[in-house]
Amino acid sequence: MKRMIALGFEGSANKIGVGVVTLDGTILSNPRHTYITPPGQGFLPRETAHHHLEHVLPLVKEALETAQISLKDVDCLCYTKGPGMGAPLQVSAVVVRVLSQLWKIPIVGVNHCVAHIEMGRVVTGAEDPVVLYVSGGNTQVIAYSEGKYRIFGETIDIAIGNCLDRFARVLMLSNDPSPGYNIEQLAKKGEKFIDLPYVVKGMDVSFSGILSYIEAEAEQKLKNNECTPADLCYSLQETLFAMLVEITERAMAHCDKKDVLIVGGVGCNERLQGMMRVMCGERGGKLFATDDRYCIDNGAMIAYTGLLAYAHGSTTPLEKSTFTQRFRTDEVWAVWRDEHESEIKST
Amino acid sequence: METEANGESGSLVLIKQGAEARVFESTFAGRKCVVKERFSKKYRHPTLDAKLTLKRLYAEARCLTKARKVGVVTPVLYAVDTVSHSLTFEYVEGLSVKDHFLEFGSKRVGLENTDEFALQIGNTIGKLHDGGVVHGDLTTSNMLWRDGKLVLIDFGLSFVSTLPEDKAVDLYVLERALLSMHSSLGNVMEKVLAAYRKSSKQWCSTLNKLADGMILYYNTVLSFHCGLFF
Amino acid sequence: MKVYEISGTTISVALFTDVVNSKELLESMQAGTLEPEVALLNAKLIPDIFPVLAAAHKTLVAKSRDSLTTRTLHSELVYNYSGSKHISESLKRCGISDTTTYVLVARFSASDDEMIAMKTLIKGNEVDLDELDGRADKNQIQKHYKITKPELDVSTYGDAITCRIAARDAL
Repeated sequence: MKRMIALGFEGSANKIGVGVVTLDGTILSNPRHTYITPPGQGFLPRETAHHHLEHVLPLVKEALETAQISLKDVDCLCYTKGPGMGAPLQVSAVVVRVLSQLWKIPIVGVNHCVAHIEMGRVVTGAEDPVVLYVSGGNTQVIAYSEGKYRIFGETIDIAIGNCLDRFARVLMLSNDPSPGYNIEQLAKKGEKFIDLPYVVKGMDVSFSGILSYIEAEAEQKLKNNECTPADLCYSLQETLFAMLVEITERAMAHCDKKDVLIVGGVGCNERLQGMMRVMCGERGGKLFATDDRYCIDNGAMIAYTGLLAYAHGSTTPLEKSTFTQRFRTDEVWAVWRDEHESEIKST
Repeated sequence: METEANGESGSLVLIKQGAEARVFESTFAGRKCVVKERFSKKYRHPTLDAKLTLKRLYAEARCLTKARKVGVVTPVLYAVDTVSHSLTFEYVEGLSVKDHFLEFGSKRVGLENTDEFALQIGNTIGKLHDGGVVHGDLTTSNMLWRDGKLVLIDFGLSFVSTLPEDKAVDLYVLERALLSMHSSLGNVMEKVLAAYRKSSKQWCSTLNKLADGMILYYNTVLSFHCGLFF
Repeated sequence: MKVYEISGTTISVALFTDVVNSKELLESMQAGTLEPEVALLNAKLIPDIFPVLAAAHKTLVAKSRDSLTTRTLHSELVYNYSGSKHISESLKRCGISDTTTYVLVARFSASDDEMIAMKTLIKGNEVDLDELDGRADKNQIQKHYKITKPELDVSTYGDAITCRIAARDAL
């Protein structure tokens, strides 16, 4: 039997990526390109979309060449339907529509968050973990239950990555390769722990108070030589990550699961992984984490998740191949995971 | 002269290894009790860990006492030990509301079975909030059901506040807990809120904030526009 | 007299009405000549023995850590029973005065002889501990421990006092 192959497009934030995968999760190619802004600056939707437009077609060529396949081998075209920034999302959606018309290949719209989870599961082999999804736009504690990935905890204001990014801008750290990475490196040199607000509400967290506190304190403390930028990065990471580990542990206790999978851009952070590993160890569970190849937004994760849906008979008709900035993880029926569950239900 | 037997604060039997505390069953001055011992978290920075452990121990003792003053049923607090970071409570016989709801879910029984639960949950939170206490961790695991009466437990994340925002987040946390754990039962939260409205004199500003909160939340998601992405 | 086991030791307790020698008891206690040393509590504030045992537990824990707030183990019991941080006020309210006639006497790890001596110390009429509830002054309890009406819908007087004794140091 011919193996199923999907071509996936991701462009919900400042990275455009195109990936080719097979149904067993083998990644045949996964090139991507990141839009990097100068220090102290975030990226704006319009410029980001332009960046994506510029790079998407060369990336398609590269993806197909590296995978050593041609168009006729592709079973479905998958793209990020949301959530994310509107203008950049639009690029993938439009490209996929055009290619679908040209090549007569069906489309599958994919939820970005679900794609992170499925990629993480297939890469690490985690079966039924509690998932911590941490990126620039998302902070969620998710677990599979009754046919969907349900959100047990999340941020009630800004995302963790957003908080780190904005703090990096206060310190004027470089955005290359990412502000979070540079905070992580600087934090390694930190020695002094500075007391910051710690806000956990049930299984939810809040970061906005901490951000405004440290933004205000940073200037003052640095001026008075009370601490170094490294100390601030260190304290910020220690506090934010402790909150994340705490709510993850609460969710584990709540839904009685043993393992943890970390996905999303902030998931590459080794300190976060280290703290989470200690917690899992204490509970007799395991931590599954991926490196920057999969943590960071990429095309393969979209291709793989779309292919799972496609293999279970799910496609997106052309007129519905839209994009949306808001698209919650628990709006998607994880049909590919549901089989086993429905068996249990019917007995 | 007679001697009261088993008055001894007896042996500890572990009944639950929670996320941040070990819970033991024991006896305290002749009564069956629960000892909740907060332990330090190795993943946390020691300074932060010590601060949180003590803060939550105090919060729990203080807010539980305050909750009782406004007529919320909680376990009786028997002892507080700031050295071993433990609290000793009355042992409450009965399953958690979570267990009851999960059973309803698995038996596919109707939503009406949750009526009495929802009513008491709403009443209890209304009383608590009007008394200026925000629970901070409203989940169905933190509600026990003893002889048809709701008993609220685990005040470790509680704090004193009269701000509608804080109360709204409290309700929001519960709503999310119900959605994630008991979605098959239908809209239990609606019934909880109906009871809350009747029980809390300040329901209006709180529920307005709850509605605002959702808008705020979505606005945050939309703040992608500001280019604050990772 | 009743003996309770608590925190690895015992506490012996007896309840007296119509006590006539409170003045003498108070004087010898202040002079430190009370023999054996006992705690003398204003029984009107005691609706149930359980909160006394909770206070006893707290006292023994403090003793084991060498962290008594008051001078003796037995005055610490009276102080702890009050649920307040104010020492002299606590001893006045929950201890006895010259005119007190209703007294609960308690001693930690009393020997048989000491228990007999305890009884002869108090000139009054010993009654059963079951009478605590009926003889307690609920108004005074409500006032001293700041117990609200809604609380009494969900709690006994004894449990309300116990919570305050336990939570004192966290308040």
